[in-house]
Order: sequence, then structure tokens, then C-alpha cells
Amino acid sequence: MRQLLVTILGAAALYGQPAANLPFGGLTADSASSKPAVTCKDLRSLTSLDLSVIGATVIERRPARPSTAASA
Amino acid sequence: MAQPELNIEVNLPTAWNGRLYMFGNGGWAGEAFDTAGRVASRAKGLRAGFVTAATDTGHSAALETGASFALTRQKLLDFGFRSLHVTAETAKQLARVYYGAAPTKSYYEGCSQGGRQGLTLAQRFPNDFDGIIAGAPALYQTATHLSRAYWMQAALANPFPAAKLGLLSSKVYEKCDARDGLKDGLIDDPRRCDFKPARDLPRCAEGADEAACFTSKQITALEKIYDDVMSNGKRFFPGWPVGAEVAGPNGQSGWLGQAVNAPNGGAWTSYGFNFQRYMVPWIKSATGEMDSARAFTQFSIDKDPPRLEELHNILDANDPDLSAFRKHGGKLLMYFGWADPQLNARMGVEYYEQVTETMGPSTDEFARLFMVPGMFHCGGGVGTSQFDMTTPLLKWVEGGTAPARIEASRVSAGKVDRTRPLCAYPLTARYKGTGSIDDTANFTCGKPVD
Repeated sequence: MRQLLVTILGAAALYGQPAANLPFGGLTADSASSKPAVTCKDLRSLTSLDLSVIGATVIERRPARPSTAASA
Repeated sequence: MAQPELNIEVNLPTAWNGRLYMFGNGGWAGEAFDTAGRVASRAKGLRAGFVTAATDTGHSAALETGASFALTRQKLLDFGFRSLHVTAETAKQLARVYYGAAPTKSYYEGCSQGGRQGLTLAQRFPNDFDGIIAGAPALYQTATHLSRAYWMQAALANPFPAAKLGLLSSKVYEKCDARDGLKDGLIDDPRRCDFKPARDLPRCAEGADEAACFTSKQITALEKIYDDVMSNGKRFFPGWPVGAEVAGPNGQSGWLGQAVNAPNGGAWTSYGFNFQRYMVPWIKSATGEMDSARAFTQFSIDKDPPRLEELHNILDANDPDLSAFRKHGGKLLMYFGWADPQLNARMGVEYYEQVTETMGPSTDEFARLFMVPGMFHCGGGVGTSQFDMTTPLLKWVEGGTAPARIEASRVSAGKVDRTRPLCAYPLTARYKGTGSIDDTANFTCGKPVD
């Protein structure tokens, strides 16, 4: 049976940094170092019989906003 | 459009920390990617520099309401397990292409249906993730729905009035609160309180139904809910632990809209009905369109469970053999609210005990359970239900430090009014004997009071 996977991509840091109490041990996007090797648009070429990339969009970074409390 | 079709959303940050964070679904899944909870989970991962991934599991809840998607077998399989692996694989593939490198570590987090998905990943796809958080997992899903149907039979025969939930709660906490050594409005382990409605509740005079007592029929309904579910003389599912009857911050009992229908219905009724209508083959073919009352009255706790073997194999995530996940180096953090009114917390505890029995005494080297006294379903309630599981998981996976205690807080009217440690099961928070009972510094993790 043919499998069609539809993938939507947003390629950007969506949010600025909240003040404190970060989850994931305080990791922040600002300290992340890996950068894209291709453009977001290039990901559309991955469309195949099994995978259909229906959207590959750059979403601009938003300004920082207050952190919400981490909860379950 | 060809079927099956999984919708997957992957977010790739311009500054990547080299890791993948996938989060799960709730209810019958099929949520849109822009629902508030999903946006919050996505933002949580992106703020920390993760590639994030999520799926609708192969159907749209807006187009196929409830469990109606299950009428299409492939969608049932995708909901059960397949979509999870495909989503993880797809996200990793995209990361490889976009950054030129695969994720060095992969994490999953989910609660409720998402908790079941986490355990499904650990059991079926043990190499997909390095760290998994499974909150309040609906892990024994078929038995959960069957038991709800069994309990709703009792509720239909002997309706329990919402107006008496406050009285019921006060009687439960009067007997059970201090059983753990501290009267603090929390029941640390409901199993240690021997509450019997027939013995511990005031019974109305024959023929009377007054506000300060319970009729014989009401007590019968409660006995059925608290007692273990038996099928053909054998224990089939744990009875409901006491504690969720209590009113949460909104003044509403946890049972309202669950075991006791609210004016607009209840989750037990809705989930049980959807399960019976769309997933149980013989009821589907025998009755066609049903109402929930018919679904529950037709159901037989003795005849039906053995007929659900195939569905059990698709939906349930209660295999205690986590050898492959352990061999992969995976770490599992489970949590469950002891006052969860939607999913039975004993199901989670008993599963963890089965894992320990199967995997041996060193189970806590890769899998730990944190019970949360007073917490409702995936949050809320009267306990310290605000906590972060991602940081201890990250430290465990990447630093080798297993969490023994996780700090939690209770927020009322926007302010933290209590902090308390969550302790790795079977330990519980023990008061040191001095200082505020609302300050975590005055608690240690220790063996429960005998």
C-alpha cells in the first residue's frame, strides 16, 4: 500500500528566551551551535512515494516573552 | 489522496542543539498542530534549541470525531503504534538533511494517551529514543475502557448524585489523610487506607435519601467502583483508589465529569462509548447506531475481555519486558497523579512493579516512577502538580545521574503556596517533623509509614 506522509516544516528559532526556570536543564537556543547545511526550501526535494513535504516555511523569530511555569 | 496519511510537523531551529524532542497526543489524538497545548510543547522544545516533532497519528479529530477513525483499520494501527515510529524516523531524516547530521540524543514526552505512546515507543521501538517521559499513561487501554463500561453499568443502575461528592470526599479524607503520618489534605498512597463505603459512610434510613447520608444503592455503586474488577472469578483490573473525589482549585470534585456525569456528560461515558461503538467488533456489527446506555448494558465483563486479544495487541502498552530499551541505553521516567480521576493510578504503579519484577532489582537504573499525591489527570488537583521532568531526564541520559527526588510546587491564585519533593517509587515524601509542611526543605524521601 502506498504511504503518503505530509510534512510541514518551520525552520527558525520561534521564540526568544524566557527569564528563568527553563526546562531541559536550562538549555537555550542561543547556546545551540549547529546551523543548517541547506536552505529550508531544499527540503521540498525530499518528497517521494512515501513522503510528501507539503510545506517548508521559514518562521521568523518572535520577541522574548515571559516564561510559563513548567508543568506536567 | 492516498491512504494511509500521517500528518507530521517538524520544526527545525536555525540554531540547533543537536537533539530531537518529540511530544505526544491526548485523548483519541488527531489534534491540529496549532492547538494551545501543542504550541506550548513546541515552544518549550524550540526555546531550548531542539528539533521538535509531532503527529496527528493519521487522522483528524475535527473530521473523524471520537474514536470513529478506528473503523478504518490502518488508522487504528497508526493510532496504536505505527505513527510514532514513522514520525521519529521522519524527523531524524529531515534533521540529517537540513543540518548534515543526525540527532545525537532523542527525547519523547507525553501524558495520558501520550503517556501510552511513550511506553509504546519503549516497548515496540526501543531504539528510537534515549529518554522517554510517560505521564499518566493509558497503558492498559483495553482494560481501562472495559472497566469503565463495567463501572458505568453500576452507575446507570444506581446513579450517584453529584451533590453528594462533597460529603463523600470529606469522609474519605477524614479517614485517609493522616494515614501517611501527616494531615495535609493529601493521601500519599491510597492503597494504604482501608476505606469501605459500606462501613465508613453514613447510611440513610430505608426509603430515605438525605443530604447527610448515602442510600444503599449509592453505597453499592461506590463499592463497585472501589473494588477490583473481576472477570470470571479472576482479578481483571484494579479498583479505583480513593482521593480523586476531592474538589480541585475550581471547587469541583475530580469525579464530576468522570465517574459521575456532569450535566454535559462525562469522560468515562464518552470514552467508554466511543470504544464500544468504534473499536469493539461484535458490538459494532450487532447494533449499528447505539446510545451509550445500550453500549454499557450489552457489555459483559466475563465474556468480553477474552475477545479483545487483537485490540489488546494493537493498543495496549503493558509489556513489562523493556530489555531492548535498556540495552539501547534508554531512560524512562514515569509519573502519575494519585488523585487522577480519569485514568486509574494503580494501573501505572502495577505496571512499574511488573517491570521491576521482570527486569530485576536494578530496574531503577533505567526506569523510575514518581507518584504525585493529590494530582488530577496530568496536572491540577490539590497536590504539587507543577514540576519539570525534562531536566532530570536530560541529566540522567547525558550525565548519568538518576533522579531520586524531583521538586514540585502547588500554585494557587497565581502564587506558589506549597513545595514538596516527588520521590522515586516506592519512596514517598516524609516530613522531618519541624518547619512548615508547605516547604520542601522540611521533607525527605523515605519509606512510607507502615
